[in-house]
Amino acid sequence: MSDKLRILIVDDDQRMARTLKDILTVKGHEAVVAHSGHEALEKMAETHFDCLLSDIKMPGINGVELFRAVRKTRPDLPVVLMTAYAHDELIKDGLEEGILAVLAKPLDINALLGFFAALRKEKSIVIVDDDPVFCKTLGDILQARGFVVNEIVQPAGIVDKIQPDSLVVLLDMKLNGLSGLDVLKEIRERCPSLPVIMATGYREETTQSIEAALKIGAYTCIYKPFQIEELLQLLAEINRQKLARILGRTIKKK
Amino acid sequence: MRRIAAMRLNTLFREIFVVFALVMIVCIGLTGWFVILFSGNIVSRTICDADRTLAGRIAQEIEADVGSLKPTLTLLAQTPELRRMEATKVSVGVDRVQRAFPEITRVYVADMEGRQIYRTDAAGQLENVSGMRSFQVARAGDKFFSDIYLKPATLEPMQTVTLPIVHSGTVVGVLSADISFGRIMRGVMSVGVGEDANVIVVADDGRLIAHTHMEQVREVDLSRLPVVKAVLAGEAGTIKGYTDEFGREVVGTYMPISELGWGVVIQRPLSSLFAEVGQLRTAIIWILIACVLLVLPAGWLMSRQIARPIGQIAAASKRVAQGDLSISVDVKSSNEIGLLAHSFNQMVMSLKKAKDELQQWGEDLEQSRNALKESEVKYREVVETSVDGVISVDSQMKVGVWNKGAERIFRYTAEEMLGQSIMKIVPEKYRKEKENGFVEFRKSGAGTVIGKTLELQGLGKDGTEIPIELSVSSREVNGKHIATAIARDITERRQAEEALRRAHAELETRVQERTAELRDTRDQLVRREKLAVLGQLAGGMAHELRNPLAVMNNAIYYLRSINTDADETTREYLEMISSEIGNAEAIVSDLLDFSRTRSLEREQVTASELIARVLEKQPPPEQVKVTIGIPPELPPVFVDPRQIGQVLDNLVANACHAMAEGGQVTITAELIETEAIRDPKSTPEEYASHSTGQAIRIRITDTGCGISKENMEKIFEPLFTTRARGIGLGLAVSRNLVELNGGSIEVESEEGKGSTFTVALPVREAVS
Repeated sequence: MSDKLRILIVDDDQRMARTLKDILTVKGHEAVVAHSGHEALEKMAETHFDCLLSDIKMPGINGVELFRAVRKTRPDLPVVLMTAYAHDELIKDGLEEGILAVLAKPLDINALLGFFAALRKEKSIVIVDDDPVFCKTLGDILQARGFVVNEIVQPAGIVDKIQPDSLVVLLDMKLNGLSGLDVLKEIRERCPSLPVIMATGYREETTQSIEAALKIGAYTCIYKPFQIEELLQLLAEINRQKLARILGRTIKKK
Repeated sequence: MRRIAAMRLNTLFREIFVVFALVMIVCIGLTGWFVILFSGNIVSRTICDADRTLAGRIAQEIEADVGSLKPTLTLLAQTPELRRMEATKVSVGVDRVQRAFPEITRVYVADMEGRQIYRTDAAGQLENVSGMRSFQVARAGDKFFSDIYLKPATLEPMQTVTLPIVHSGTVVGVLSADISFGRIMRGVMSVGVGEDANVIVVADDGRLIAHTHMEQVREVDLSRLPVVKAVLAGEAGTIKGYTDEFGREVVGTYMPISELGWGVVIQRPLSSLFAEVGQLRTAIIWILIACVLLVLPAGWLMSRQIARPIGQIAAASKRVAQGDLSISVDVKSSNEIGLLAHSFNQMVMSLKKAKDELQQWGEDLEQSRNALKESEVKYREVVETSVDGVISVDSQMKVGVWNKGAERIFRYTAEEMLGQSIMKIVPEKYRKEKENGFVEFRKSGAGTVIGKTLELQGLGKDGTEIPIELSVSSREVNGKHIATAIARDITERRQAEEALRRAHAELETRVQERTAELRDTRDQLVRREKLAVLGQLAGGMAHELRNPLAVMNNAIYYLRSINTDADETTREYLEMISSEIGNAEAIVSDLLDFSRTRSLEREQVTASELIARVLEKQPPPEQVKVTIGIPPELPPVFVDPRQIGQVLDNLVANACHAMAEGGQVTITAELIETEAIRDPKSTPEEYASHSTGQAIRIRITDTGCGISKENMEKIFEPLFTTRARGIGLGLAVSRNLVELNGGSIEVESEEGKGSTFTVALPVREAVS
């Protein structure tokens, strides 16, 4: 388990802010309250937060504007907004710009807590490759980046080896004895909500296989060797989608 | 006006000029010829006259000279001196005479024996002349004239005259004198008669006394010359054309010296005469030529002066005759021709003006005629094309005008009716009355129908009575009265009136029905209005409500979280509050859903996914058994998953609610062909290009209490609910959403058995 999350709660409704703070605190997080966008920015300048939860309609700058301001200094900060009203255009723009989700008041507290839990939890990656060296190398890199890595060299009975709350499976297309596609199929059947990234070292990997993989439900295919930054971006995106889903929003795959 | 170009050589010009020239030339020629002819004559005559005069003068002079000689001698012979025969006395007398007459060159006087007693020359040498014939003759008492002889030294013509001296009747002596004609000769020789001419003096014996060219002629005998012959015969005159002493052709003019018997002849060569004449003729010819040369141009000019303007006028007249009135003649002379031209121009101008005027009149006439024609046609058309019948009738009841409208109404053609009695179209029963009316009309032109509009019955060709509306007017033409009627077939109108009456009655009943309907509609409208207002209010309120609800929700959550070990009642109460907050939120959500317009974000999503999400989000309660029958190969539907998710959520929730004690919910999906599904928002082209004519039909069946027949109509209406709770917006919102996504929603139900809600959603190719 990681450290406590420090969450910044922004709402001009003091009771709302307070009740949220108390809930979060009771559930083991550290919650700080700000009653306006400006106050929030001030607090953010002093302290590092792990997440921002803000009302949209506030005097001064609204929630989306606050998000835009925050993005400049903390582009990686998960931002979740909440509202009692309909702000369709504003919300739409904000979501496109990178707000994780906009929640309707009254909040689904369970979902919110689930989100925070997921946020707090370490992200775990499953690497399935018959090349142990590859697994190790990649695994080390990812671990250095803060991921929990589960290396599986032997694909047999793979599904049992996978933790269901894994973030993603990185699956090699060609495994000794088994076709990657079959493994993919297994995973998809058993854990339909777990994204699988197919990896292949063969450029000539026929489009047929790739298409088949995508049809079965692979998230995407990448070619080995791959840029680690690309992979990280991919992982970040998958994480975003997962978090959003928890919050009840389906982000369309880009 | 255009100018007529002058023609240089027109016919008239040529005529005038030719005539003129001819005449002039002929005249000049004739004149010349005559002049030349006569001039010759005149010249010769003149010359001859001059010669004659000259000859005459010479003759006279000679006559005078010589003529006086002989008498003088005679006288001398009679002087006393001579009669006495005294030598001294004789010498005085003789001297005296000799001094007076130097022509007497020698004189002697001789006695009867012939002895000279006196002698003027060689004095002293007195001779005896008795031997001489001259003495002898004279002694006999006759005068003796010697022949003319030439003195040898001087070639002077001499004559010796010997006369008797008579004393008392007897001859006593003889006087003889030598007469010299030298002076005469010299005189004649010096006469100026021109180079070639000769003056000849001949004595009576034909002997030459004088000749202009004496030395050439000396002893020539000229007596054979005709002129000499003639003059010695004592004639005077002229002989032309003989040969003279020199062999030339001459003309000779002769004059006798009658006293002496001599003659003077002047001879001129013909050639010199002709020469004179010739010179004259040449001069005359040159003059004639000069005249001609002067005359011709003059004639030319004159002819032109006359011919040109006339030519112009002629040409202009020709053009005028051909119709061109735009010309004028340019003649500048101020004479009669100029006047003619000027008058001509004026004439042409007035002609043109008259023609233009006439043309204008013609055009005006044409125009008025056309206008009249048009007007006539127009009015005729009006009558002919008038839908109503136009009929005119004279006082004899004869039809004069019968237009197409009348034909149509009564079915009689114009041929059948014109000239016929109007009674043909009056039904029998009214004829008597109408005929009576015409009597009055004939008299006064007035009548009961004149100037009025009334309705009556007419008679058609087929014998049917036709209701007619008739408007009648009258007018007087040439003392006769004509009535004109406009007839309108009002059969239709009558029918229409009847129909109207019936319609009125119907209308009454309809109105009542409608009023009832309207009242219902009005009630509906009022309700809808209220709804709209409510909606707006609700929207605003709902949003506002969400804030306190959110806080309350949080608070309860918190309390429940920290009171996990509270007693049951507390937990119950907390749960109650939590649940009620949820209800309140549901109501607020429904209200908001219903009142706001949604934007559509479509995706291709399978039915199974949608259902899965719904069940995940709101798991049905335990007592409800859920059966899902969705084939996995179904194509996805193209809808907004959130909205449809909400709909399915609502339906599932309703199904569960309907089975409070538990039951079965069956969810199926199948592919159907349909055209009925149509997105109201898509354009026909969009729909046509992307629809596949297929849809997925999702059925949610429950085994609940079902819906009664009366309620079936109303369940999709807003604010309708059979439940004690809720404001009844769920299904209304659901229907809105489904239709928004291009689908349809239906319900089947049997009371007590259960209900099936069917949602059909379109299968479409993704747009773009």
